[in-house]
Amino acid sequence: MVRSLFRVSAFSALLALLAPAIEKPVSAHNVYNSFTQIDWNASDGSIELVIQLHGHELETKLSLLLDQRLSFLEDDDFPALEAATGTFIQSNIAIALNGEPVDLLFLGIESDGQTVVAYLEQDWPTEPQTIDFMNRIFLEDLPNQVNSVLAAVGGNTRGGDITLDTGPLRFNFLKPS
Amino acid sequence: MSAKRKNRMIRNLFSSGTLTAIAFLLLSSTLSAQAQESRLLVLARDSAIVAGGARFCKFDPDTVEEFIAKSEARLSLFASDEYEKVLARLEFKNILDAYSVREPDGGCAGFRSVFEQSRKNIQ
Repeated sequence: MVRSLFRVSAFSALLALLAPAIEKPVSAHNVYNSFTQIDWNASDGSIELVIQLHGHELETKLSLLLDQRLSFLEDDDFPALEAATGTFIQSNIAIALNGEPVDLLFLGIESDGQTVVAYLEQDWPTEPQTIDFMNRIFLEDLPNQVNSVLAAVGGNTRGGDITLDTGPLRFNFLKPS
Repeated sequence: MSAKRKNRMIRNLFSSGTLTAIAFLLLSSTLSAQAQESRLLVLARDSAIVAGGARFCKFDPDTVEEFIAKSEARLSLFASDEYEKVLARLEFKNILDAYSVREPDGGCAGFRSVFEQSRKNIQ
């Protein structure tokens, strides 16, 4: 617990320290959120994830991990940030379909400087009946981080929030017999 | 990273009809086919436009944050399930971000009365 508090306060302090370096106006936010959309694509038999993150927090974290100052506002930094984002996301999320873990392929990111959207997918030809998902990005770094999830399979939708206390989410798409 | 595969995925997101506010941020937005969800998203969007304008105009930060908190609470209250709740929160967040960096129509002086009325409506 003490170690977690220290990690939270250290990361938050670094965020505050690095904020003046951002030239583009950034809207302040008090609630730390990420959003993940999970879709089973029936037309090409794949599971697709779109993850939306705050650019400021992500670049701070990646700069720490890579031990170099990087910014989504700098075009030259984008390749390194994109590669690092893929590694970071893949090591902090987990998904299982019908109880079977799935290794997602990281496709890339898009960013407007303030928000980063990451794309991942994997082949999955049959409609999943259950989706288990965990996203632990920033849960131990930022106070009150909430990683929200939307899932859609066969026209049915589910949603939920992941926090430090919740653990993974399970979405049930079982059809009644 | 495969740009071709990423582009195919973005096109698939559109064609599968499950486009959400995540893609709206970068491309365009569509509303859910379900009427109740659409009204919720409209409420999210309207509230966020007001909140974003208040932020841009640098109205009292505590007052603005209170409006944001109450708006989000109202969206959660009106959502019929967890999916709607998250979707509305996402719509609110993205619209808020977009409108926090643009001046409201009519300028900040005229916008103050709009904000104050919105605050009263949400009490």
